[in-house]
Amino acid sequence: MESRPGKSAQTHAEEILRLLASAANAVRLYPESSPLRETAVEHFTEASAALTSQGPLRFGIDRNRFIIEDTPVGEGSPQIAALAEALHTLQVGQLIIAPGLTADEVKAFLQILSMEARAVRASGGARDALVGAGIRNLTIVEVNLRASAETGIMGIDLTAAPIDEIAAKLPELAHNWLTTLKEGSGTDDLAAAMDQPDAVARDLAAERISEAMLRLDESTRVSIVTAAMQADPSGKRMDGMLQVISRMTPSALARLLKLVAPRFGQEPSELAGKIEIPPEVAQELQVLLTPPAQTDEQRGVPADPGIEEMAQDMAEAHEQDSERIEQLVSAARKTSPAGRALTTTVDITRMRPNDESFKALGEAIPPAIRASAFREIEEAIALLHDFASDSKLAPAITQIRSRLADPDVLADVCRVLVDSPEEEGAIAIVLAAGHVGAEVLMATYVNTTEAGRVALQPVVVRLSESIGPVASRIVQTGDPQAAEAVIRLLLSLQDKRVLSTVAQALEHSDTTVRSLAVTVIAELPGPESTQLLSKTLSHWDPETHRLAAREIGRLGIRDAVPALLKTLEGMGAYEGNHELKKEILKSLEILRPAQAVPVLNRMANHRFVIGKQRRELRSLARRVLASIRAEMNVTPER
Amino acid sequence: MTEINRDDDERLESPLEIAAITQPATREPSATAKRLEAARELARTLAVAQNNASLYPSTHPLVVASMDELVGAVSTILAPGCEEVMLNIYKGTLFIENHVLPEESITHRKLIEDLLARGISALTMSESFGSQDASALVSLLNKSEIRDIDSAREYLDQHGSHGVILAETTELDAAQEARTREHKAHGKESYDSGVTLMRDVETQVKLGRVFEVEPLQHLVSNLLDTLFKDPAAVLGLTAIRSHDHYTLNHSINVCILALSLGIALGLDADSLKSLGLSALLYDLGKVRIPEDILNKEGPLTADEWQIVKSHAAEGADLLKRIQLVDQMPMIVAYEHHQRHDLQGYPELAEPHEQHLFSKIVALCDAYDAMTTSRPFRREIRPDKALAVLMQGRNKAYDPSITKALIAMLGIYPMSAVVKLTDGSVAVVFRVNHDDLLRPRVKTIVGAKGQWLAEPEVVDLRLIDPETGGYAVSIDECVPAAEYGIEDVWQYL
Repeated sequence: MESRPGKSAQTHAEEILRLLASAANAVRLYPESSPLRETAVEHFTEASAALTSQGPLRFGIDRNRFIIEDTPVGEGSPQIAALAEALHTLQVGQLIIAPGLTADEVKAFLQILSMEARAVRASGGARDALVGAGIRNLTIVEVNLRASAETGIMGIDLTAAPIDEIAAKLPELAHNWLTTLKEGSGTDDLAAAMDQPDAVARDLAAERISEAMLRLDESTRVSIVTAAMQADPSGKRMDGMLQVISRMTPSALARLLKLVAPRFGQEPSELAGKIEIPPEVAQELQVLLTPPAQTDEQRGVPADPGIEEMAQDMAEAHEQDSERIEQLVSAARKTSPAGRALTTTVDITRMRPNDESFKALGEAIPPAIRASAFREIEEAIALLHDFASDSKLAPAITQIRSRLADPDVLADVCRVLVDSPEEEGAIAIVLAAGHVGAEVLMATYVNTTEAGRVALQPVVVRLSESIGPVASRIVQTGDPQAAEAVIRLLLSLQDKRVLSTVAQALEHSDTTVRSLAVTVIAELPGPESTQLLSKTLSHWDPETHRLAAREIGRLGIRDAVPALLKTLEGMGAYEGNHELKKEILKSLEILRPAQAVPVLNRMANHRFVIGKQRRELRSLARRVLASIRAEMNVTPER
Repeated sequence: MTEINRDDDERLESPLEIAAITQPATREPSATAKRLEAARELARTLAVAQNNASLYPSTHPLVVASMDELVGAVSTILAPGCEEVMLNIYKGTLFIENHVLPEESITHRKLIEDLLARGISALTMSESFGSQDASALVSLLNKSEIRDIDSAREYLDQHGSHGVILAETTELDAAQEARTREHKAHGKESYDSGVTLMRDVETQVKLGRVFEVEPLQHLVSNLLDTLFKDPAAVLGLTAIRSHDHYTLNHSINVCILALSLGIALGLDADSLKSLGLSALLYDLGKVRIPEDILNKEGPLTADEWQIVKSHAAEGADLLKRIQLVDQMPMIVAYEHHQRHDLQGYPELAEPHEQHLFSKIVALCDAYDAMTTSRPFRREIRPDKALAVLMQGRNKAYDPSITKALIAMLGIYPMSAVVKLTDGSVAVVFRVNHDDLLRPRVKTIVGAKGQWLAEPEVVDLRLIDPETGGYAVSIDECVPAAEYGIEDVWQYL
């Protein structure tokens, strides 16, 4: 049941043999006092400790090479080959290194190795020499140690014989135990066979016999253990066999005990108590022997898994399963988890509203914004609102809010709004960001395409309260292009409340902006716009007030006629604002108000007019007057 | 997603097979059916060509037509991107591209015997296979004087055939075994380092420290690399049992299962990495649950149950500020008990469907937890565990993902211990995706309960040439421990 060594295990084995060979050479070549000798032994001892931490390491020796589980190790290394040869000369078939090997034991072993082989053999062999030197953690198996001298199990080397050969002997041993039991005292040949002088060899033998037990038919195995559990009159059981089965894996032992127990009318755990089992195995064994606390049925596990139905179910091609999987995979691939992460963070924060949670929330928001997860962001903003009054959390919440008010973040949000103006979460973010949100929204509005502006317009309308101050600033001091865009936006609102903002554009430094403002003021409904337009007639910029006069006429704003007349009259006949007078007259021509007649009369009847421009004005006044009279059906005064 | 490595074609765990199983389970049968039909046609045309060539001269119209048919059959089975097709004879049964051909194994007995008589156990036909290859191969089979594989190779060479490669099973087995051993060793190294890493993570979290994510990402990448090379070697690692480190092993097992399922579902590399990390960390919240409650043998009180249930939110809480590639680990930790029908926990303010990764992890968690023995709970047989998952479809588990998991694992999953109809006990070590009821097994205990010196590999799709029926079948799945089997992993 042992697994083959992997590549690295082989490399390690080779390394340890190389170190052992070096140490052997050092012991052979240098005097005891030499530090080289100490160092070599030390290196090997350390390496062996590391390599045997999981259990003993066993090497086979085949003349001039080492074998580890059928694979040669260290082939091509003359040093390792020489070591193998030295061991072979001592009739060593196997070298076993156990955990816990000490430097003293290594030195003693190498001392034996450096001795004359014939002398070692003559004094009882290498194994006896090792035992004699008190070496417990390194052992060897000598070739042909027992064979021929004994029969039965005693005649085979339990540490090296084929497992099947050992297995074949086991029923006979059990039979012998039973037979001798009847005669008064049981003979435990297995215990005798395993009575090796050193612990490592004993352990190895017990493990191999345990493996051999498993090679037998189960009924034979059960009979052997049944026999081994029979006690002789002194109460002694077949200890050798019990020692062997205690080496089995807990599962194998549990099965065996379950099969044997009924023969004794006992519970398996009761039987287990009669065997000396290592504590760690005993614990596991106990678990395996104890009936489960719940049956499968109690655990909701079906008695019959319904294999055929399952197979049938699996064999059927379900298009809907396929489509569903594709949808789920596609969603997982394309949809950023940022929104879901934010929702989870919101849930956790509600569950545990502390500083740490709010920090996590703050970190989860930017990716959610990038992923346009606005519904989830709305949840997060609502959470901030819910905890806003908690003074302990105030710094964390403020920090999140400032993060939300980051112009770069808001720019991302506003860009989303260009494409999806209905995103409530995005609107909520802009709103929550206050004046910075409004600034960024307006900047986005100004810089986007005409189509984008159309899309953003409803958003701006919804946020008109916030954007007012920003719009004021832009229309007054923003660059002309921005100011124009905002003025047009204000016009589109068709709300008299924006008038005061538009009015501020009249103070813009750029003529085009001012002109546009006049046009917009004229087009906005309500008396306030008329008043403003009238007021504009006295604007400091001639072009602006001229335009105001023109717009009054163009749009037919009769309510502004008094202002026109007042302006016209207010300017003396010799004042030079010729162009404004002309624009007012043109507007009056369009409006044809009766109340303009007196003023026009005065202008038309000027006798002494000098200069081309003044003559032009008089002529124009006469024309306007005529048109008013024509409409009034009144004969011209003379 | 992965390159097709023809060296591995013969194996169930080959990349070609990954490609097959990366298709959703429900789509697989029709694709398999088409391929199976093409495989049958190839076997038939080869047998017919051999027969015609033995009866008529090579210029006879019937011979010419049958050669053309053979060339056509090879070209049909070579799907786009597939450069060669392999015909195998294993224990007297004919396989083409891992499709067992039970009927053809009987009806084309002569073809099988003629190949085996020359020591040929496998022949590969490449995309360059043409009429010259067809006539050389067929005439080779009819030449009684050619008695070994070397002569057969020489004959093909002399007759200008370069589109056919002959092989002995032993050659394939040896190469395959070496590769499997290497992958298994590499997988085990990753697994062990994963357990160590997870122990460190657990310790750090218990101490209230932040753990490093990079080593975990590295672990996921390693597992993925090996999964693409040899899925079976990695999936087999989930059979490693540890009585001391259930929680640590469980998280690695769930990671492996989730990655395997993710590959089967067709997730891309980035998604797989995110899924793998999520699957490693989804249960991290349990470090905040008292161990005496987690390990309690008897039923839990209502209060204890509430504490246990809190592990999902606790896990998300622990992961919320960890700088990960994405926040999926936190999401999966939070959602993995929410169930498909959203009746689980934690309760959501606004219920939303579990994320795909949460669904995957929930299934893999349930499967591994059921099939693993713990100090206070016996494991459930893999087939019964799958039945529990099937019963939970539409309730706890997503129905489609559940089926995909079973398609990937097989009805008798790898590491399941089964009793065969001949009384022997075996371990499933490879799933045959064309027949989920007939995996490849390693018999370890004979009919009389004797443990075999070396496990014996049996493909349960094999046909008994005498009866025409299956040589042996699974009688039932059995608990490993009850049959004395301790460490299933060593047999995989």
